[in-house]
Amino acid sequence: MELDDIQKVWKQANQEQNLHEYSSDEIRSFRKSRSRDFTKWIRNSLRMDFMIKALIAVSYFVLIILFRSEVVTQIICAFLAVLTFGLIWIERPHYTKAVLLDQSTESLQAVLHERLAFLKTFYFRIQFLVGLTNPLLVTVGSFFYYYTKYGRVSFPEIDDILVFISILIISFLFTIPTTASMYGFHARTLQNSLASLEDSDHWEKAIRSYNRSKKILTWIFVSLMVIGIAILAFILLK
Amino acid sequence: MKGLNEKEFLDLVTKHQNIIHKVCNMFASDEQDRHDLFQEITIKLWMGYRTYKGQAAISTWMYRVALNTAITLQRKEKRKAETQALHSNIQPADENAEGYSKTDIEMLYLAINKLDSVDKAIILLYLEEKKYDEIAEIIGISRTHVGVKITRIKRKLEGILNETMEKV
Repeated sequence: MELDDIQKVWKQANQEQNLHEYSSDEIRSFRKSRSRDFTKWIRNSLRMDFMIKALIAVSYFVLIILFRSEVVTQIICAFLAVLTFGLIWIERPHYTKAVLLDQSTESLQAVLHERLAFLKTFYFRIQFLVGLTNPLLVTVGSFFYYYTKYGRVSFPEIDDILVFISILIISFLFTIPTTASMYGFHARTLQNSLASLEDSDHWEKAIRSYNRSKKILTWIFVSLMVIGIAILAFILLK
Repeated sequence: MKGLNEKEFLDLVTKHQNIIHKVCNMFASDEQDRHDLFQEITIKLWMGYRTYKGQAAISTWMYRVALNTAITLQRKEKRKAETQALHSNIQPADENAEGYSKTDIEMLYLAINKLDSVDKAIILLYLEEKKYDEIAEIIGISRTHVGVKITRIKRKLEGILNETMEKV
């Protein structure tokens, strides 16, 4: 086969293909099915987050009523309720951006750039905003726990506050490994396609730099874990 | 999506579904993947139908959305399947009047399979005898760049085909 013949070979192959022609009804069912694109995943997680945050905000208002004799607790709950609604307000345009990304019918190069820009700016902001839901949930849960067990919020000693803050930080950091892994995969895929499309070493450099920082971060993360376990073991065995 | 004519959309996709099939065959490795990709492309076409105002030819628009979807919807597990053949639904004759045998077709498919996704998209449009201007419009690069890319991809294909023939 000569290279100039590939169009003819392709034509013949297509003529001989035994394709299943979809009916109009089948195509309608496809249209209504669930997308598996990552933008859809982001939209779903944002929708879920809106609902959880709205529930949390309403719960804070309930707490304001429950703790009617405790002004400090009421002020804290009011502040957290406003903060939660504020976060929903900040998240809204990110949802719209994900919808617009889904509807884009630009050229391949434009779409790759749009998606990469979305990942680099909006994705981390979204994960940060979604990650804040966990500490808000822990806080609201703690307030309800205090109310049902003691009928009031006791402001504990410094050690208890440190433990509580640690729990809040851990609950916030909980989603980070998944977030980073998803970002890494999608960013690499898009950058690889752009590198191939634009014949530029810019994206290859970006991928190399990403891999380098990933290695450094893994080392830092593992070192911190080892140090943490060593300190814990030292305290326990002392 | 209210106000969009669903029937018109369904007629359009049903009529031009061979475009989606060609993209699915190029990018998906087995029957299940092809079906999933077809479904995803249909969803994206419907979402983009709102903004399609007939400024581009319908086939150009469909190729654009289908190729964008195929390239951006790469999943982690897809990497494993890269070496699988994409021609399972082809039942070619042993040899035709032009002299292209089953082996020729298989070798072409295997060689294309070794290209990266962007090169696959460009070569698909070239094989479908699209004009350079149309390829440029779909991919988003200049006409000259399309020419350069096609020459390079053909060179790559030649290398892969020669390598395969030596092995055979």
